[in-house]
Amino acid sequence: MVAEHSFPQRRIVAPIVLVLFALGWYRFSDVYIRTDDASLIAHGNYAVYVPLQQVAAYMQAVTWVSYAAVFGGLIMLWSGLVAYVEYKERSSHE
Amino acid sequence: MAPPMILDPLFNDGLTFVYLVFALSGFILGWVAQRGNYCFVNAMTSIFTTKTYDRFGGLMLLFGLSALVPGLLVAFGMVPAVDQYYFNYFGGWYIVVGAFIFGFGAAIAGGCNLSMLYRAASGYVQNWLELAGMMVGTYFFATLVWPVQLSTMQVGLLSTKAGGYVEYLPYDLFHTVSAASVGATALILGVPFIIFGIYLQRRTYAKFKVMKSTDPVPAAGAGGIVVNRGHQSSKPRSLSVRAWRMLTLKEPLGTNLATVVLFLDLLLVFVMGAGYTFNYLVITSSDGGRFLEYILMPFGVNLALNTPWYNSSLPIVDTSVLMVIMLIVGAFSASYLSGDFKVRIPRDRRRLGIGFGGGILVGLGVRIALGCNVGLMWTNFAQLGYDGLLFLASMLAGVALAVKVQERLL
Repeated sequence: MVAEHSFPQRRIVAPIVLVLFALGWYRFSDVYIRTDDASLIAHGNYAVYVPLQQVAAYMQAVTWVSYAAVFGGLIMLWSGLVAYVEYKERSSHE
Repeated sequence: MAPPMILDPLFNDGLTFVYLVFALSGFILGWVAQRGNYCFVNAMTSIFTTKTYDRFGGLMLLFGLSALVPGLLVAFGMVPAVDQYYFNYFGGWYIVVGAFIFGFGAAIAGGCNLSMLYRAASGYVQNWLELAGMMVGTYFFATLVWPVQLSTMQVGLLSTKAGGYVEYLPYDLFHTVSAASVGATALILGVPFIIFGIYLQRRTYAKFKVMKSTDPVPAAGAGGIVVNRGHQSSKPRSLSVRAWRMLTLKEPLGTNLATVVLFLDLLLVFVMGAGYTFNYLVITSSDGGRFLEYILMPFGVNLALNTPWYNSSLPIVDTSVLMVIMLIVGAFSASYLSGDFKVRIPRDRRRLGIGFGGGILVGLGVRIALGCNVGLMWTNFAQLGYDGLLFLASMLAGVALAVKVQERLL
């Protein structure tokens, strides 16, 4: 049997990046968008200020979307890890 | 009497639901564009490089469908006319100038605003730099160009002084926004684009037939990135086999299938977002600007407080933010699951600098034009405006110049 190429590490790393991105986006939205929106109204800038009701709706949607992205990323990570174990098993048999 | 300019939600599902619809729509957009390798700039460069028109024909079909169906939905009373024209932008010199700069920049950088995002999510480093360049270009626009541009808009120098129904073709042509005028305009604008698109595609397929080959046409697309045309496999396959291979991500989506799904995606937000917000597809150019604003926030810099344009024209968050974020997630998921994801650094390292420089032009161009190829050109066909036509002609001219420059200098 012909030896395969080395296992592409991106199959493990990329889903982790996706999960971290989703978590980071949620955290960023929760901390900075709320805070900076509040500072806009404190400075009287109503042109780009977003009403609290809209920010709350955005945060609710971001929560659901982040759950979906994190679960999706974890499923991809799991499938990558399974592929990695299969690769290692094949390598050890050769 | 002037047409109304008051929005009223079509469905009472609430804002959270609307945000989620936009998120889903962004995911679909990213997924389908990635699987169909859907790039507005590549469709245009192929006209001048390989003299093939199938992808450009697909764009024409997209614009035609986007003008026809939303227009008919309004004409039949399913969606109020105000939801179609409320967000029409001002029109003026800046669309012609901006679209030209954008077309040139995007063609040398390696992607339009849509393909830049899905390719960046698929690991193309050149497009990461294009995105970074776009943020810088947006800042240049905000500080150097916007104050001057705004003053010309305020006095109406080669510019309209109002958007909304003033930019709505049914109103411009018939001085009314009645069902009959909207329906007639949708037919006048949409049908010729659909016929033209079909004609261009048939012409190209006839050319392939004469060449006795349906094999991929080797072509370097925008920014030297090779266009994936693998879907035109030389192996004849039944429709069901092809459908299965597309569903299992073994085969990319064909141009026309991607076109139809993208059009349906636009229709989804057009209907579900009606009365709530900008009910069209992403304003990726605004979000290019917003990303810089967001990156600087943790460092205590708030551009929205004192920087021109950021402090007057860019709400700190809206539905397009989630749409763009999910576009990236969708494109990443499609590329990862199909095995296409890979961090790709171009062999010719000059491409990295060209990607960044082109990105600056992209940022400048789209902001000067007040929108990109998606949020302005494509969207404006669905809005039954004329800004999309101006944008299309100027962008084509910019792309043509970029092809010439690339052939001679790069």
